[in-house]
Amino acid sequence: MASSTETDQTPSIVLRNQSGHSTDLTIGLHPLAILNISDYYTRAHLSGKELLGGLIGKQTGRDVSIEQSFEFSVTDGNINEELVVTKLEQFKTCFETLDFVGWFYIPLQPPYEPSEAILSVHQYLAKFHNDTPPLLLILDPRIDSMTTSQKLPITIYETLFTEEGKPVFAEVQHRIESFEAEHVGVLYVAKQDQVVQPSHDAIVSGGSQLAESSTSAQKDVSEDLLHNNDAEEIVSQINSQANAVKMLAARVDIIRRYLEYIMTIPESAFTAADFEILREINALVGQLSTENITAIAQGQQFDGLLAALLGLVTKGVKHGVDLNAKRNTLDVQLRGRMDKIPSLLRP
Amino acid sequence: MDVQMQDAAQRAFEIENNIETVDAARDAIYQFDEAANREILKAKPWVTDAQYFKRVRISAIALLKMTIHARSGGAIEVMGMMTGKVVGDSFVVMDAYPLPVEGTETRVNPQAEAYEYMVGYISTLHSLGRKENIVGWYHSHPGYGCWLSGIDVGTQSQNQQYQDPFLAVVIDPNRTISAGKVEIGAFRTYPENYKPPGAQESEYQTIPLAKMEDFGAHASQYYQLEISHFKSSLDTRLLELLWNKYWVSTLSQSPLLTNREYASQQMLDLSRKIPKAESAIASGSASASAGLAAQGRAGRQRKEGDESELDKILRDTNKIASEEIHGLLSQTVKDRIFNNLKTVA
Repeated sequence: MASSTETDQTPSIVLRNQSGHSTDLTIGLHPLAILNISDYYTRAHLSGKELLGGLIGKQTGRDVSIEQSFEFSVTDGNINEELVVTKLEQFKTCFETLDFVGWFYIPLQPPYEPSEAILSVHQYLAKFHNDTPPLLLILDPRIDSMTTSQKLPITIYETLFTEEGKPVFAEVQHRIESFEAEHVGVLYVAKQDQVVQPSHDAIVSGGSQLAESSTSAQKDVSEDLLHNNDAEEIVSQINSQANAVKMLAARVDIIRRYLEYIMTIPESAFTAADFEILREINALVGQLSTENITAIAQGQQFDGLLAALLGLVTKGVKHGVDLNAKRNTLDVQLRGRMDKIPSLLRP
Repeated sequence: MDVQMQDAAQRAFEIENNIETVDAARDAIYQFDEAANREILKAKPWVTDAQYFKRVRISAIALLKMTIHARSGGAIEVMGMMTGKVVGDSFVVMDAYPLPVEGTETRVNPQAEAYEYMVGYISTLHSLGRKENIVGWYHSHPGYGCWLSGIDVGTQSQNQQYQDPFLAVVIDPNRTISAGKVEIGAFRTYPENYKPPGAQESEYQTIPLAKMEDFGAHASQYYQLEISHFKSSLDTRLLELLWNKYWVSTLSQSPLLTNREYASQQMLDLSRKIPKAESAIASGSASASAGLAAQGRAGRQRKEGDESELDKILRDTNKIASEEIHGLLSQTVKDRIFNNLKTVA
C-alpha cells in the first residue's frame, strides 16, 4: 500500500478538522476497557492479525460510558456472531445495565485510523446497537509514538452521514472516568511491580525459631512491618497528591501564559483572541468560589481530629492498664517475698 | 496448523521489527505454554506438600475486574472465577470474571445456575482461543477484612479436593476505598487433619465483633499466599499516559466522603468491643492481686489475653485515625489550593 493511495482514500471516510464541536456526544472512557484491550493485544499480537472486539457500557441520551471490552473471534474475515451474542448475554447476566456501545480495532500497521475496509464490519455491528452505527475506538499500539506524543493513543469515532448519505467517521472527544474502586485499583497497578502484602509467612518463618522462646519478638517484627507499611502508604499518598498538584499547576500555567499573551498583543490585533476560550476561562474562574464547601470540610476536619484524639486516649488507657498490671505483678511478688522473708528469718 | 502458526508468528515478528510495540521478554508471562502446563498438572507437586504454593501473581486487568465487581455488590457479597495457570510454586491469574450469584454475609455458595454460567463462560473463552483454565475463585467481604469464613473454608477445601490447583481470593471493597489501596488476600486450605508446622499467626486485621467467632474458629485451617501483580509493557505505557488525565480525580475525590458509612461502622464496632475488654481487665487485675503463687500465674496468663484485647482495640483505633488523617491531609492540600483565593487579586 503506497502512502499516496491512503491520503487519497482517507478524506472520504474520516471527517477531519470539523469546525468547533459539531457533535454533542460525551464519552466517558474507563481504564478497565482500555487495559482489557491492551491485555488482548499483548496476548494476541503475535498472531499477526488485526485485532477487534466489542465495547460494553451504558448509553443515556447523548452520554456514553465505555466500561468494559471483550474480543471477537474472527475467522477468514468473518466475526463469529454466535460468540458475540453469548458474550453479550454473559455481560447482561452479571451487569444488567451494560450494553453493546461500540467496537475497538487495532490495525496491523499504520495509519491507525478508520479505512474503507472496515466499513463493512462497522455496518454489520449496527445490528447489536439498535441498528444504529456503533462507536469505533482505535488504538495505536506503538510504544515509541506514545513516548513522543505523550497522548493516550486512543481515538474514538462516531458515524456521521454526508449529504449523499455516505457514512463518515468523525472523531469524538472523550474523557477518562472511573469508579472509586477502579480508581484505587488503577493507582495500585500503576505502581511498579511491587509485592502487595508482606506475607505473614515471612514473619512466621522468620520468627518461627524465636516463636518458641518469645512471642514478643514476633510481635515486634510484625509491628515494625506495620509501621513500614504505614510510612509507605503515606509517602505514596503524598506523592500522588504532589503529582496531581504539579499537573494542576502546569495546566493553570498554560492558561496564565495564554492570558498574559493576550494582554500583550495590541488592541488592533485583538481579533486574534479566541473569545470562546476566554469565556470558558471566565466560567472556570467563576466556579472556583467554594465557600459552601468550607463548612463540610470543617465537619470532616472535626471528625478526623476526633478519631485521632480517640486513638490517643486509647493509647493512654492502654499504657495505664499496662502500668497497673505491672504494679500488680510487682505487688504480688513483693508480698510473696515479704511473707517468705520473715518466715525464713524467724527463729 | 503448525506451519500456519509459525507463519503468523514470523510475520508478526517482521512487523515488530519495524514497529516496536511490546517487550517480548517481559510479556512472556502472557503466553500460554501448553506443554509446561500439562506437565505440572501431571506432576501435581501440591498433593504431597500442603504448603506447596507460596505466591500469586495477578494481572492488572484481573485485579481491576475483581475490585470493581466487588465494589459493585455494595454491602452484598459477590463472587467470580479466576482463570490462569500454574508456574512453579505460583498461581498466575490472567483474568477474572463475575458469576451471577449474590451471597449474604459469610455464606457465598455458587448454585446450579452459576455452575452452568461458569461452564458456558469457559467454553466461550476456549472458542476465543484462550487456553487458560480456572485456577480459583474470588469473593468479596465488604467491610470485614480478607480471611476465610467457615463456609469459605468448606468451599475451598472441596475445590482443592476435586479440581486442584485451586485458589481462593478475598477482596474487601470497603477497606479498599478507605485505605486507598486494594485490600486483597489469597488463601489455600490445608488438607483435613493437617497440622501446620510452627505456630501460624496470620497478619493482624480488624474483624468486626459479629464475625469474630467465625474468623477465630477456622483461622488455623488455611494459610495466606503472597500476592504480587504484573502488567504488560503496553499496559505500563498506557497507565503512564492515563495518569495525564487521571490526576483530576485524585484531587476531586475524597475518601472521607465516599467511605463515611464504613468509617462510622468501624467506630460502632469498636465501641462494642470496648466493654468486653473493660470487663476482662477488671477481672484480670482482681485475680492478679489475689496473691497466691498459683493464682498469680493464672492471673498473668489471663492478663496476657487482656492485653492483646486492648492492644487490638488500640490498633483498630489507630487504623481508623490514620485513615481519617490521610483523608484530612488531602483535604488540607485542596483547602490551601482552592479556598484562599482572595489574597491573589
